Amino acid sequence: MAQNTPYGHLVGTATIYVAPLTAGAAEAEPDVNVSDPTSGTNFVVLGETDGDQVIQRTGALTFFSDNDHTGPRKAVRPEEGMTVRATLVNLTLEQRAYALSLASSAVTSDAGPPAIKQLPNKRGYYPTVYTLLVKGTVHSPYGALPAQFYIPMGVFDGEPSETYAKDGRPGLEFIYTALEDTAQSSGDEFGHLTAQTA
Amino acid sequence: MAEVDPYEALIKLAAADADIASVTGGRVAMRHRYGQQTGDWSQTAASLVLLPAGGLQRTDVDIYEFQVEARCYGDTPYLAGTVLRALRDWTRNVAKSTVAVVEGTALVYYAIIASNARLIIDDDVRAGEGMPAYLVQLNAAVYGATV
Repeated sequence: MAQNTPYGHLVGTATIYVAPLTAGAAEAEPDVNVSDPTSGTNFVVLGETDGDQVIQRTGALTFFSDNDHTGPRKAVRPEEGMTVRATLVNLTLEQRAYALSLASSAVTSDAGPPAIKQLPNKRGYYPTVYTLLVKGTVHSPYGALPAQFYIPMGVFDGEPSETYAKDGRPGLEFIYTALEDTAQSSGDEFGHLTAQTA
Repeated sequence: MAEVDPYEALIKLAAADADIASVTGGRVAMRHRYGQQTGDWSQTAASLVLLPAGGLQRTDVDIYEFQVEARCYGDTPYLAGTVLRALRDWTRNVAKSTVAVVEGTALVYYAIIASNARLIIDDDVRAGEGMPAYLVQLNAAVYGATV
């Protein structure tokens, strides 16, 4: 047997939660063992996604070498970033507003008749900043325990399109891109990954 | 650490589910027992039969990734459907689930329904009449050793 880490193999998808900033401050991170992060917080479930959920750390290294060596002698990371990609298939106007980085107040309603809700097509100059929580109930590599990515600030990037088909359904593919939150501790500006161990 | 039977793990985990146990009366097995001389199941009783149907062995990481043909038997198509729905509901909750097997404790990573149901009338049961059963494919993964 090559190794013996049965719980280190992670399976299943995560639930994605989103929260607006409060007076410019990120929503605080709930404890990882909280089963419902929406309880007592401003987090709401972003909505059902379909397909892969991709968490990516970006930022290639730049290597430096000199005339005395054949290999690189130093490396720096001049830029870095973090993104969360998925395809939202719960397309209520409220869920779309998040994936388009609009404020939730962008959805307006009228009692009618007919009763309606509206979402503007124009997204505007400044995207609304959100806190993101990507939580898997058994994503801890230390047991059948939860783990979560907490990203204090970020915006929903991308140019999502809705494709309607006779035998298909549209989904909004979003790319949540982290912004540095300087109010966080040093090294935690993009948040962190928390895994429960016991 | 001891090697486990992945099919035993999956069957015992399914049998331990309260809803599946309720609709099948605990009749969850790798092969049906309708018309058997010993341990006979009533010809009208619902059951869940999980037949191995191929897959992969990830020996480098000691994981079985396999398919199972799930047969949801019922006296009528409707009753077979109640077994299917219990099975479907159960699969939503399988995530790094542990279950007691002969060798110790097994770890089932997931069990996912990978196909829509096909209704058959199994002529091997209830000769001349057959018995309704819904067939679905399950994809599952089980760790190869006890945990």
